[in-house]
Amino acid sequence: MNIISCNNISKSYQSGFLERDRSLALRKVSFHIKERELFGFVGPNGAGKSTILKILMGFIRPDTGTTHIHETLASNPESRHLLGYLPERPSLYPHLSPREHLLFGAKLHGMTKDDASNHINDVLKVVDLLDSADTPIKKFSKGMAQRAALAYALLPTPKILILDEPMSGLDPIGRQIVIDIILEAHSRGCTILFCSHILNDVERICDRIGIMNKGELITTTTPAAVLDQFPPEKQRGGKTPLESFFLHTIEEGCCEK
Amino acid sequence: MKSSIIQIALITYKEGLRHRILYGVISAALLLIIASILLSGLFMRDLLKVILDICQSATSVGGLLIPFFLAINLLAGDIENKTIFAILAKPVSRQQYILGKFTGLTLLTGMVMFILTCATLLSIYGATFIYPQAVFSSLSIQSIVFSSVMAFLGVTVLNSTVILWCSVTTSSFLATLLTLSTYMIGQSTENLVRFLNVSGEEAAVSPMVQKIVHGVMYIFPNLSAFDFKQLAAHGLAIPMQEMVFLLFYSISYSVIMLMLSMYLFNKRDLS
Amino acid sequence: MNLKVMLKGFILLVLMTVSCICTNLLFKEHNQRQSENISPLALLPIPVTDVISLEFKGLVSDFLMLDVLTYMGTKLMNRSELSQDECNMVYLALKQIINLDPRSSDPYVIAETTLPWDGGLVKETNEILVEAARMRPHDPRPFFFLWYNYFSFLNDPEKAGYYLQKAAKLPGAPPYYAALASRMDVYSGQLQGAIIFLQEIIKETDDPALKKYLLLRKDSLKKMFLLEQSIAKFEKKFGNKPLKLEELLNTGILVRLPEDPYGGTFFIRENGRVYTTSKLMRVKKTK
Repeated sequence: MNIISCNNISKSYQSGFLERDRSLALRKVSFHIKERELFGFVGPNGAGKSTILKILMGFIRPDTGTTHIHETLASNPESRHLLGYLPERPSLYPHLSPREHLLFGAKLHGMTKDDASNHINDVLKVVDLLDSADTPIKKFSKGMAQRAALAYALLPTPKILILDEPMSGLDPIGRQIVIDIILEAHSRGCTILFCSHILNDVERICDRIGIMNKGELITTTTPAAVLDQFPPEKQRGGKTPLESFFLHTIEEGCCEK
Repeated sequence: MKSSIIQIALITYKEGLRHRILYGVISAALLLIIASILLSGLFMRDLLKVILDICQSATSVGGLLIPFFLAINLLAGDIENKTIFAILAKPVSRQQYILGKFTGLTLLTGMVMFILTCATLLSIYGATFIYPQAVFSSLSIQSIVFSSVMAFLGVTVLNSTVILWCSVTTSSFLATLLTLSTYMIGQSTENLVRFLNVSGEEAAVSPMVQKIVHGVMYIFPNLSAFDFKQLAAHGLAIPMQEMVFLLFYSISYSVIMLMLSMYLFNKRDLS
Repeated sequence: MNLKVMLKGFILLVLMTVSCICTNLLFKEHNQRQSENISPLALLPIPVTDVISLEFKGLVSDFLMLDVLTYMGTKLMNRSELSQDECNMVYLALKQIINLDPRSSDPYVIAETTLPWDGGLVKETNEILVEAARMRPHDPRPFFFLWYNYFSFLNDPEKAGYYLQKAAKLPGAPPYYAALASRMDVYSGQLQGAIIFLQEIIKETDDPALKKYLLLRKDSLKKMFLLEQSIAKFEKKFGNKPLKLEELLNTGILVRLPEDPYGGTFFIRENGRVYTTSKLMRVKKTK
């Protein structure tokens, strides 16, 4: 069953003097994600990866097309009962501690303080921030802030996680922690959609991969299919199969969707 | 739905309390209120009037701090720093966000003006130890309190226009400029309309300009109508009927501004 | 390292001393200049001041009032009188203040105690008083001052009586207002009215310089009133008025001639009224 559906999404932005120029951010993007799937978007900078995620979250209105989360329009706030979202940059109130932030998020979900308390401790344990639970976020390192934001997304036990560049700017240890958290959520039945330009991570954990370029979803594939198409003897200059596939797709414009 | 609005209001209120500028202005206003007791001694007769002029002006300035500095910081800042995503990523509609922000700003305004009004009353009490009883013969605590309440309603109306400006502009500087313009127009239109009505043909003002000025009075909030400082300073009663009209006016105007804000904010891309 | 710190500290101390000395000198210099002028805000067109005061009209009016009081206090301390131009400036400032806060009492009291006397601005003062009477319906003083202006400066006893009656009817009016209206005649009433008027003002004046100024005037008027009463006694006794004040001494009606506190000499005018060479009452009788 498709838990996320995007049909013919297009989005352009006006810019320039008197906003007479139009730049196309997305062009007729369509895709579907099944329940419990781990889907990854990859593409160069400016491909439209973050834009599609923001449209799913209702932050941006598409010019054409529709998006549904579990048969509810994505622009409907009710659809976000099932969602957890991690933005590209951790966007948390710097003066609040993780515990205060999670409590705030829980109350926005309609939870009482007592119900939330147990959940909060569990989530903080998962992201390894229990010791710093009461420290203001402004004192955190980037990795810690990212984990705090992830904790905020994980509360309260979402069915769908949408992550925008979750490993961006993290050191290898930080990246591994985040990957473990993603896999752990996935193992509990969570559907995960994320975008990244770190192809290694996408290749390692995703069930399916979508490749975007210049606002278009060029193709979707699986790691197994990539490996079939680019077996080890076809690797170019020590690249991974996905890297080779990605470069091939971008350069030659492969159109299998 | 209600609980989301309350939560957003509370977090806005808490974020506002963290701003140093709030404490700076409140401290300055409190110092001025205390100094009013001494400054009034420079005058001959109207000592109580001078004390109340200074104290009530300090209260107004304290209240205006919210729309001019904090509101824009808390609204436009939310969008610039992307902390708005932390709220809208949850099952919260943009309408709830707007209402929550407005409620939080109203709480902040009320808190600041309440503190300064209490300081005003304490200042008068302190002055009774220095000046003879005759100075306080025209004192009316009720008028002072009602004047503060009306000033609060005026600032609340201004807060609603701030939310509208922040909903349409991407720049906090532009929002500040628009708020300042709204405030100045709101304080001046009644005077201008009165001037045009009194001057008549002698003023040689074109009918088009007169119509525009009349129109502006209806479009922009008439903030000068909420100013009862002079009546309170002279111990005169504020007409109850006028206060009721102003209450209805402030509620209806604010609701219109908020509805417009919600509509425009809903159309806006937050990228 | 210590030497460096000490040197920096010494330089800082020197700079702070220079700054304090300069501040003091500049203040004295500036103060002399500023006390000669009223704030330019007072000279703006009234609609402009109305608009730029926003919701702080009371505060702006207080600021302007303080400016006027400082300006006038400086003049009175230096024992100089206001020139016509300065009176006009004070009038404009007071008009501005009353426009901003029409219920304030200080402006109309200042107007009455200075403008008609030093500047001859009786009609202008009456404008201010009429507005004050309108905006302060429970205050008898604006009507009382209007009575005095019409009675003493404008020689219009009918209108004067009208205003005194209005004053007498208000709660808080001294009981002698009504008696004053019925007892006064044009001749003997003027000085007595002036003395009572000044007594009223002095009662409510705290400013020492202004109080001294008014007491001096009252003293002179009282002495003039004493002389006029003595002239009336002389006339009653001998059937005609004396030509010189010395005749009052010679006939024993007065033991000693009072001295004018302004330093002038009292004399009898052709119409039999007492006056002084110091011209304390720069009264311009207008019709």
